[in-house]
Amino acid sequence: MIDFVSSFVIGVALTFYNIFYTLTHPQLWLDWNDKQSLMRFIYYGGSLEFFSAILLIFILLTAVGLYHRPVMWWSVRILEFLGNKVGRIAAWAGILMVLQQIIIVFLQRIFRVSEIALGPTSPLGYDLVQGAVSFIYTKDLAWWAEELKFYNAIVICLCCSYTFIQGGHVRVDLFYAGISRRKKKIIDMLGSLFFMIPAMSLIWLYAWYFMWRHLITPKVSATDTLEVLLRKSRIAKWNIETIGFSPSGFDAYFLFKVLLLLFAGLMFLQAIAFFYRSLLEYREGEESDDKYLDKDVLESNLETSDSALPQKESAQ
Amino acid sequence: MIFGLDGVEIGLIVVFLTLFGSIMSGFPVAFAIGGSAVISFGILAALDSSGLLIHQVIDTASTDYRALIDAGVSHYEISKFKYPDLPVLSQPLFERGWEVAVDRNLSFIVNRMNERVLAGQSIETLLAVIMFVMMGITLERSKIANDLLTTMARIFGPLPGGLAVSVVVVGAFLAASTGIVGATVVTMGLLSLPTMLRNNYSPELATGVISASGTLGQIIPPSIVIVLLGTLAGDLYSTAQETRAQAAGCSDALTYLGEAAVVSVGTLFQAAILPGIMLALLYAAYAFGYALINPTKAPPVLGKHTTGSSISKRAVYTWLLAVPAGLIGGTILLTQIGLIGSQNIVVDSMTDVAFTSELRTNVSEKCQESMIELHGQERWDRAVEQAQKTKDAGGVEASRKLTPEEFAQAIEDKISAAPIIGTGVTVLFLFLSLLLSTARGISISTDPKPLYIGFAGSFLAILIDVTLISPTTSPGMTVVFLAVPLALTVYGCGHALSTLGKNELLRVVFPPLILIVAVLGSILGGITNPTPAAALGAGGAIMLAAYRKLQDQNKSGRIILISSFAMVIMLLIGINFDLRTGKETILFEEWIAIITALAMYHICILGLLYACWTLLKTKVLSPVVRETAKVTSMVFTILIGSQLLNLVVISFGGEHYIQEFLRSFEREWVVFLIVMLVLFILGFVLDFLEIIYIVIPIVGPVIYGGTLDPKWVTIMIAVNLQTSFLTPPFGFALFYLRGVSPPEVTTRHIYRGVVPFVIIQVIGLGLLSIFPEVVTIVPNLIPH
Repeated sequence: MIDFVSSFVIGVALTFYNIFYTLTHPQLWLDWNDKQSLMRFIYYGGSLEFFSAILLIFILLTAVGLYHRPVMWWSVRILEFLGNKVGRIAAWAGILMVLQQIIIVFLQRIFRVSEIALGPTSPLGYDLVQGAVSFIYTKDLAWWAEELKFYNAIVICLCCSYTFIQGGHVRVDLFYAGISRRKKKIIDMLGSLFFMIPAMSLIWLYAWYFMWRHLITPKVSATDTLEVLLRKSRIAKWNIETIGFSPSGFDAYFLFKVLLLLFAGLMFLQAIAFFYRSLLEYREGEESDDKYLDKDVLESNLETSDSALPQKESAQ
Repeated sequence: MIFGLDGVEIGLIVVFLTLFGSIMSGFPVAFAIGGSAVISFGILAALDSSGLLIHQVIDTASTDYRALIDAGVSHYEISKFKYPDLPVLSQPLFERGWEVAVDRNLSFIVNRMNERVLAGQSIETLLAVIMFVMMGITLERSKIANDLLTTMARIFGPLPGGLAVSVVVVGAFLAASTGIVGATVVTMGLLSLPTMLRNNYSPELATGVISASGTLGQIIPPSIVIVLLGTLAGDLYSTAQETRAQAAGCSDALTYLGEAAVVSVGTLFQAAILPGIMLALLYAAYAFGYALINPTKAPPVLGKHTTGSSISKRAVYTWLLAVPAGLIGGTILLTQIGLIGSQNIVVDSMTDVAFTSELRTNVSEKCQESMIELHGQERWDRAVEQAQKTKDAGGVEASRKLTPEEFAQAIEDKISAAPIIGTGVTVLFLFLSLLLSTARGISISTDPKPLYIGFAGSFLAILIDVTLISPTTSPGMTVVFLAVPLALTVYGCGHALSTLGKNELLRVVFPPLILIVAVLGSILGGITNPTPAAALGAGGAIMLAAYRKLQDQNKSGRIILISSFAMVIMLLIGINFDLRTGKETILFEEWIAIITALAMYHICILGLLYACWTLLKTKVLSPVVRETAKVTSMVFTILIGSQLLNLVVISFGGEHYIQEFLRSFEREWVVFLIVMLVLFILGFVLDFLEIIYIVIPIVGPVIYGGTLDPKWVTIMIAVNLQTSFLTPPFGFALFYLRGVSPPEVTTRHIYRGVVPFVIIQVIGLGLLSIFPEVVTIVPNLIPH
């Protein structure tokens, strides 16, 4: 028992020290011209130390927030603002995708073009002067077609936390609908702590190295120790993945790995925000439900009779 | 060992209980699944570290096992279920410790997400999801469902049970245009349930028919269920058939089956169409029959006739039935006897590779045995004979370039064999004539002269095609020849359209109908993949919504109409002319065609952008885009959570265990029946998304790895899932309906009302099993 307590105390103290040391020595991990500091950055981005630091900050913030509630509300508001903002912007990728796909299918099927151009002489993809002007951006048709996946990935990864804030994720409310308000809040708190945080940490851990594997050589992996990585730093160089499925297809697949990481990060933050929100609503009672929540409103001039449609039911 | 259970069994139980508890907690499902995966893995890791989980595997080093292998039993077939007497080895559940399992299995979550959710090859089909969702939400927002329901109710109302029938019709319609089940049920519940109750319909029939028709969206294409299920099924089927072929001793599935083991979403859409219509017909028949037996519970509703002009019976029969039937029948007849057909005279400059044989015959002995078992001795012998013939003829002749003489001869042959009337011309004028005759039938009292001029134009066009246009006539000359008759017909059609526009039914039904026909037609006809078709559908829905919005505001929607016509003209030019600019010689007429088509293309796209702008200005586009993003993100997040769960189940061999269990049954239909039952029961508590993503990947390799037709299997699963959403007490559709029904309708009414429809579903499943042709006939008819 004493062992446990002492190792815990040491761990906490060490984490404090680590945070302090990291913040005061940015040259050790932010100076990426030095490959050693790059490798240090890569190692600590998916390390236990990083997780402990986040956990410690989270616990401290929670403690402060419990004592002084506005702090917690501000955390909720900042995190939800972030999620909403990112999601609402990313959502437009959907309409871009539809328009681009229509242009592709017309140009491909009717005009049999092999390339789609963007520029002053080709406002809608068809190069009207056939290459007479050089300052246009031309890519193979397959590139544009494959790029549609990127829009889709943007919607999935970046709108996920927005959807969560708006209550757009389906719940099976066979029992949930019937239980008391307080019990609902407890389930929401436990869910964010035990369902979301572990799964998102796991995804972050592997997504982190997965992303770096496609940005630099030699390959890095989650099981590498700091020593191994520092040894690798001697031969490390940038090697951003630019090959795709087809020779002339989309060539920036590393972006998908970045999105994957962003997904885990955003959802991790949202788990914290949701925990805080449920906790605050639990403590403050009914009048605090949905306090400060920036929910989408259906504009009145829509006059749709199905505005009574609860969010989750648009699922099927 | 706990309770004498194998470690894997305990693992499965732990995963199942954790998953069930997590989902039932009411926390958003996507995260409950992923979270329960991590939690159950944690529990298993803890139990395993304390040595509680012992897994018994067959000892592959034992003599008994060797003997079985030597006796020719494939190692796929050897499992503890089939050969319980084989000696076993005991080992911990995580053979090399749970840490290795995390690193080897769970770490794959990012690869899986990258491959199956974000960037992989199969995502190209999944892209259709977001676009179909956008199409559905746009249509919903533009109040098309409301208009459809009121109009249909007015038309079918006077029949006994007519309101119920109209709900079925609208349900099928909405299913074909959106495929979003919850929204359809809610919309129809809000709009037609009060109407039906006011007209003394029994609450049971009303609620039953609404919930059943609302779920048709899962079957009738373009359904999102089928896109998701189909993407999975495609992968599962091809891998499972490879495994099957290897178990049979063949090198690959192509050799073993004699055809490629592929099934695409497009094919599944084709397969789903008839079953969907069949179910809708069964519902309508039930509603009608119910009304005949209990006239007081579903009385006819007498409304005032509101159609623009009175329709006389004779006119209806002549112009709406006889003339169209005659025209279509005549065309088919003339096609059959070879008077109408393709006048394409393009000749491939290479010779065809000679046909060898229908099956590959140079295979190993074991493979030969299995192939004879599969295809029958007769077919095998025929293949061997064919192969022998080819061999005797000196092997397969390689493809070579034709000499100029041969080339000229081939073109000559084609010209002389070409039919005298071209397909393109026929179809165009047939379509226009149908429009004319419908207009004539709808409004017999208006001046028929313009319509007759239109008919004369069509007739003249066919006459000119017979006399003046030969296969060698260039497209440009064809246009010149046909200009006059086309002008006449279009003049008639202009009048026809304005007549039709006065008819309320057509005005309401036509725009979404055209959209549906365009989207489904392009998928079913094999013209495009589901993804481009979905994009065109979404674009069409946006234009439709913008047009309505402009009309609501008393503004002119002319720009939208012009750009739609521009699209039609562009398509017509595209079909008839070669619009490439990169080739050596471009004829003058082709230049004209290219320039015209380009102008039309720009008008069309600008019209679409204008539509977007209109919706943006009227604050419709932004909610549509956001709603679409939410639904899409939700669907794919569930997919992510399920991937994590799947990896956990794989990590301790649970997937392998279930598959071995299912494989141990002698008869394939028993396995299928078990799977169907499990799906049905799970459907009570889980959404279709979770079932598709959690259960299908596990059982898929077995049910898709046998002799069952993958199309049939998929459609059966879809219908089965639809059924379980209707089944009390937990059916999802019932929850949606209860949420919006008036207080006098009790849950009891809803439960009692839906029971007959559940029985109809079971009958439907039975019919599909007895007559699998219902599923396979459409895909078989459409050439690939």
